[in-house]
Amino acid sequence: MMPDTRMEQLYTALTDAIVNEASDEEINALIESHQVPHNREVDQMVGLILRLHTTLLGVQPSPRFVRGLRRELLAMYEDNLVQRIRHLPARVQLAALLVMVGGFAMLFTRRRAEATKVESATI
Amino acid sequence: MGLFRRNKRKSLKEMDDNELVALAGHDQDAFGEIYERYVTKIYNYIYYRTGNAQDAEDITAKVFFRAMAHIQNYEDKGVPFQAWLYRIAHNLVANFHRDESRRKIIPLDDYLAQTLKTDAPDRIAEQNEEQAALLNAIRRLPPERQQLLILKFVHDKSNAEIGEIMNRTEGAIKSLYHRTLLALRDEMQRQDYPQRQDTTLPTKQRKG
Repeated sequence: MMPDTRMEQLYTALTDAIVNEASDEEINALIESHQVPHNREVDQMVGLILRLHTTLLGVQPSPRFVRGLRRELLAMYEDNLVQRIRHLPARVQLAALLVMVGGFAMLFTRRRAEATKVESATI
Repeated sequence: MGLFRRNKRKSLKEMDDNELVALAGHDQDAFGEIYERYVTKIYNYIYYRTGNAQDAEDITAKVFFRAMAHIQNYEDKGVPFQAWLYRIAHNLVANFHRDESRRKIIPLDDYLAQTLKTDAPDRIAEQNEEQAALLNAIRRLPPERQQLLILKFVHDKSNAEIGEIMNRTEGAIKSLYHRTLLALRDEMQRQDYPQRQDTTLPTKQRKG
């Protein structure tokens, strides 16, 4: 029985090689380079790793699902912004309200002043 | 506002995850880019943990809704954003299995229908049987071992990356992987599916 750490290193290296489409020769060379006897146990593991590689394939979600979810998320995102404002501390909400009211009041008085100026100029 | 600032710098596609996350709290396009970047990966992870497309879609949607709700709370404390996202997925899959514990058999039809479409019919039957056995054996492993195999084979992640996602050291992942292979081999032998003795590489049928 080989020490676990050496086998751990070998199987990690073998997996990387197999995932990267290494040839049979490269795999054999890798086993030799780890100074591990090429025995039945190693062969079994190589077979298992190969099977995992050909079984655990990437799958594509349906494009309709991907598009639909994106649409839902972005619609929800806008609602979330409103929700986040609602959940702000009362002080912050009050300050924001005062700023808004102040802004409108300023605009209103400026408009009014301009209108009075124009009116008095025409008289 | 943010839009103009962004144009002067770089596009969303060029940004790394942390830059996107910083924007995503107030910029829906940034969140959209994160979604595009991870939707397939998260879907794959969940697909292999649940075994069917319908559940994978439902849970993937939950992952992104949850991520959107909490993205402002995400802080990079040495845990990459993708690890944070995988952990949400991992927790939701765990909840799913808890809720669905009555369901003993996980359907594999979706998976088998999607793979091996190009092989000869007799070979398909044989390979389907082998793959079903292997997938069943994988699903009998503890969740963390399943997660490790999915990250390694489906997502082609290195031990270091897997360690970041699973919050373990690279050495611990290496060791866990070794134990996982041994457990899987034993499980397959129990199912009467001895591993092939040859080391011939099969024809590649990988994703693009």
